[in-house]
Amino acid sequence: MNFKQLPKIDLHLHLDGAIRVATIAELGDELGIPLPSYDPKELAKFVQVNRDCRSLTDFLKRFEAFYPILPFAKTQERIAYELCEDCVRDNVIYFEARFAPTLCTSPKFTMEDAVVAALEGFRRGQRDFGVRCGTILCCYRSISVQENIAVVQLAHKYRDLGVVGIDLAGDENHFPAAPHAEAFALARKLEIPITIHAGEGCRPENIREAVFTHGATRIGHGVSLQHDSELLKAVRDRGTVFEICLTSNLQTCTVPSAQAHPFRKFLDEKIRVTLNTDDPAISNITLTHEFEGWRCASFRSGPPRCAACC
Amino acid sequence: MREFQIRPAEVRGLLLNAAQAVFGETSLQRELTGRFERLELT
Repeated sequence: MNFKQLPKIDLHLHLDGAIRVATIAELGDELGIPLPSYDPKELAKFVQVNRDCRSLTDFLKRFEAFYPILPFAKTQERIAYELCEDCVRDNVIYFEARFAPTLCTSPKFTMEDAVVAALEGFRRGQRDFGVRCGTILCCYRSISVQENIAVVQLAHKYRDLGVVGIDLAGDENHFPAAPHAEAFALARKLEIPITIHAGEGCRPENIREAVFTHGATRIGHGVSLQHDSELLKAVRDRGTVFEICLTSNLQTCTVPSAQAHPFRKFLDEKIRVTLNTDDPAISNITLTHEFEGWRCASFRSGPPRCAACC
Repeated sequence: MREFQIRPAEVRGLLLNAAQAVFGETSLQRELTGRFERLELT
């Protein structure tokens, strides 16, 4: 099977994890933002994951190098536009890109500025490249519920221009979802679809809470579902969809090896799973890689850097 | 070692799952679902 030619859908795709390294370098240079290097090959060593990555914390450090380029309209519009082009190249016919507006702000650039700029990039990208997409706005675990309510209100305001849902992202080990219940209640009232990062190596109770308390119809990652057979049956009966991100889970050491990943178990248990990239630029992958990779011994045996399919 | 290769029927299932789970409008869900239902995988 030729997975590259296969039309595909990516439902779990972070906009800031999908920025071309060359674009980071160019924008850093143009905006006067200090970067570890302005040479894309050198910069890649700082922003892309390698075999030394040993934890989610390690993984997230890659983002720190370029976060200062985010709170600019020029950045948001360009990276959204280029993501459309990159998806088309991989024969992704529809994707939902997500980002946390709170991570894209500065004293001169608001959350709404970020949303407007990204939506314009997606509008132009869809027009020029023929791909279709939606935008998911991420609430964030470590900010206040008031700020997350503002994110939900933005999602509502811009639904007609491409926002299709909300997410909850951030460190689930230290920041529970419960304090943000009011934001999800508002999303439910406004009938905004909800996905939540939960069970990414953390307690399965976080998945239960996301689905049955906050109304998530999709779960980002959900790896820890494998440890709770009762919950597994409950989410199967409910039809909850799990956005699986195999390479990301390996690189963040959420699972020690591909063999230890519950993806196969979820398939066999008839859980509704999808395959996604998560942070394709940071992981240096495509969605084709995520489908194709399972044939490849080096993918299965350790953190992937597979010459055959990368 | 567990077998990880995805079978064609499972590939179709993954794509259909995604099509049916998109947050876009219902007509888009139907369109994408129909497209993957017609897809011949070997």
